Amino acid sequence: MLGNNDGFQATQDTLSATGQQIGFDYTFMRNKRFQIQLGLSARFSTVTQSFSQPLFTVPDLGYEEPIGIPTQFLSRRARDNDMAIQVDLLYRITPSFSVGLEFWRQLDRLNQLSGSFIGLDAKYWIPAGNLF
Amino acid sequence: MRYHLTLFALLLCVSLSAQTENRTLKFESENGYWQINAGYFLPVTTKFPFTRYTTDTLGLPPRRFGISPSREIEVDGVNYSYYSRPAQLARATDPSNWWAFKLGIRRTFSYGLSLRIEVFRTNAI
Repeated sequence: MLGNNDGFQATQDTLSATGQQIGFDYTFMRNKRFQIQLGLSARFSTVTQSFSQPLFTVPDLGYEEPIGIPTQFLSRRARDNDMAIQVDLLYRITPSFSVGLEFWRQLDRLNQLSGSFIGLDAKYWIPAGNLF
Repeated sequence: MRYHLTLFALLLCVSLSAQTENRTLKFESENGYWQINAGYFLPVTTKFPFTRYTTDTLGLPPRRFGISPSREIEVDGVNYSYYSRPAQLARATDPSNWWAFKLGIRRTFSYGLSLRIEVFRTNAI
């Protein structure tokens, strides 16, 4: 919960993004069980921001009472496109299956938001002629 | 006859082994593989500097969200436009519930290059 001293109070909110990434990768250490991939991608996402109980106060100007924000502010969506870099460390359990540790960092154009993530990643490899 | 059968079996085993080994070795060097990947991610570092949209915003809309002022108030002849602050600040105080999930497909080409297309969903943007 945010305090009243800065004029905004939200008791609860959610923020999520759904989108696509298109990127190129380069694989190091080919023909080994261990592989390293370095990638750069562009992200095209739609951000959904929701407030469950938004309140707005203006204590600096003497408006202490909460002012309800119109209904349309309870949920709003916006495009939020940026870029990301990622490093993949893969271990080939079999020729067609690998698990990996992936690190990716977002590059925000406006430098307002950024973050780094690390996660587990599973990959299944199929010869191109057998997929379609 | 038995000698020939044994020799044939031995050669067959060597051949199959060689083929298996050859397939393993050339897997990565051969172009044209599709890769389907899925992963779950958690934050390791965070940096969330924010621009505050509070009492002195004065008509500058939040850069990341194309929203209208939530309220306009005139005080001493000055029009104040108020914007609700982005919700990230509230969320930044509790990053323990962040997550991200990705599902993608990748096509490998020569020289170790690949093209990747992924869809993702995250609560950290």
